[in-house]
Amino acid sequence: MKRFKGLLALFLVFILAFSLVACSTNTVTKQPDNTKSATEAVKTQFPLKITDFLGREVTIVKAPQRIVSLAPSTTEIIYAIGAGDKVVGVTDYDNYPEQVKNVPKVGGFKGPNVEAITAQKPDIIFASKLSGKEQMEALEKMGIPVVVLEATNIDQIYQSIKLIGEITGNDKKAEEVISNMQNKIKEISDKVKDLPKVSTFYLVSLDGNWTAGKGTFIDELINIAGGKNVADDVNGWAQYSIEELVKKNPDVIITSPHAGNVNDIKTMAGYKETNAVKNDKVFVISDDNIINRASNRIVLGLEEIAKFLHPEAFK
Amino acid sequence: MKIKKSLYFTAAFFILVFSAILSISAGAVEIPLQDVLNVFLGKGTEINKTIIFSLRLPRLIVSAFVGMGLSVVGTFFQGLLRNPMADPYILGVSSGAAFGATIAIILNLGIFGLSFMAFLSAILTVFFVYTISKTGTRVSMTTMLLAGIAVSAFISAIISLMMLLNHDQFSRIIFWTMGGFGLVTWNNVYVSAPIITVGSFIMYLFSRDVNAILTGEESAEHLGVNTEFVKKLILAIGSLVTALSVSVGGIIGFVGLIVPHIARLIIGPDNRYLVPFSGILGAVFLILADLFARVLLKPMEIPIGIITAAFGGPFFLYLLVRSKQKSERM
Repeated sequence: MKRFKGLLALFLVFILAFSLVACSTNTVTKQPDNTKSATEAVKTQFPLKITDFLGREVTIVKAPQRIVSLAPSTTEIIYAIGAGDKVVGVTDYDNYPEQVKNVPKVGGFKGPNVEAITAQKPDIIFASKLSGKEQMEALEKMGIPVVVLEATNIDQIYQSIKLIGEITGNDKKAEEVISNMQNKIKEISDKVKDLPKVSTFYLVSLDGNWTAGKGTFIDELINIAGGKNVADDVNGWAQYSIEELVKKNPDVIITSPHAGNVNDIKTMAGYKETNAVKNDKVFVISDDNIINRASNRIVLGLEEIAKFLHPEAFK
Repeated sequence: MKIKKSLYFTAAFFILVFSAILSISAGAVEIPLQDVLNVFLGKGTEINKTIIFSLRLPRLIVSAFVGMGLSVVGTFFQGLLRNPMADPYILGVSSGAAFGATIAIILNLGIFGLSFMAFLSAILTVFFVYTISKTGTRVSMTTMLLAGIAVSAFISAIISLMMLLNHDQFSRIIFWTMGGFGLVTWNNVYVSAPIITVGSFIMYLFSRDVNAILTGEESAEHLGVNTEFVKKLILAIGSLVTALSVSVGGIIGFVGLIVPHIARLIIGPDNRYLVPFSGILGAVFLILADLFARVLLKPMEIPIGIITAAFGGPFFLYLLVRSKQKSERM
């Protein structure tokens, strides 16, 4: 066992070394590019003034080198735009991409830990609205700029990506990530736009019959994927009446791996009577995070949902 | 006096029937009264049939029986423990059930597994409390009360810790504890209705004995009541009924505490009348509470525990103030 660990460590070191080499070779070969991005970096001039999602103006004195991210969605974006190597602190919730597992955890269920955050000596903190006002104020008083990001729809995800790109000096990669997302969404919506809308119910959790109503990512995704969320008469997360569900009679039911047993759903009074169960159209999304997190991976969730709703369009 | 009592019973019975009819005809989906009648006459659309027969009717029956069971148990426990603060949960049933439910939710055991774990863990908790409070063959009610509180506090701490470690399930656990009949089916009716009825009836047979115990355990012994037997029997059956109720509807607070008091204010402390009266009132109370839970914010449902506390609390205060004024005037 010990030997195995040693081997593993060696392997990891090797990978690390290799990736470093890869990076440096990149810089060498892409010399002309570098100058170009250098001129572009001039565009992001420090001190940089930005407005965050709370409408606060935040001044960032110099280009951040040590980033603390207090939301898994933000972390995903930071890695996606290629600034992942600057991340020095994340939360317990963070699990994507794989590398993030080795980053120190500075917050969790009970909110961010101010001490652990300061110990990482960050020069910028990306927070969310859930991050705890008092803690964020304490950190700001120590002179660490706090940027609050809270995207609640796909357009706002673009804004988040753009903002993070600007702050980290990776604007170009950020633009690229955004246009990839836009292309994917266009590709999917083009495929389904002329097909009839499929009435869909999303089950968050069977006990209590929780669903995702208007204003959630899931609602937005269902709409883009060529469906209609039958629970769009409630706002946000809600316990939905089974009576109403029977009356709306959805053609497709989508649920997540944590929502409860799929067989329970199929045999439950009320559910049993829906077209979705009768025609065996109850689907389980592969991963909750690709439909709930405000990151670029949301297009993966969109693609899965679109395939559930319109399998014929994706043959 | 007898006539006045039977009047109260008749009135309560009519209110029960009325609230049952109201509850069948109202809900998230509006079904006109004519269509409701049609469904019962064997006509009517498929959707309406499903909504009324598979969803509303079992829900109505279960909420009525749970309301009855909790109120009857509450009445007996208040008498037995000679404590106005006593309710069916005081011996640790609620925290025990919540513990089982938390485990079931974390392990994702499904709906049936959840009910079963809640029931099992509630029974085990009460049995544990009972075992520590027993000295020889006697059970001290005071010790049991205190042990129940201590065990509840300990289990709550463990539940909180489990929620902390499984924060993705946090809201599911919290909302389970607030109760609700949203997913009740006929199977729940078949299990809970007979057991709650039989259990309540057996306890009722001992209402005279509990009357005697109310005057003190020693004097009850002198009157020829086997107090130890009565206590043990009522604790056992009462806990069974409570555990079953909780496993179906979650931890619905206030019913088992307040309905017995309301009933006592109306019909007096004689358990022979108080127990059935409080059972009927409990059924009415939960039927109406569930109705509110379904329609207030429709098509969204509100956990029924919120309704029982929000409506039960102020109403009870009103009765308290009124009965205080009454006694002052006298």
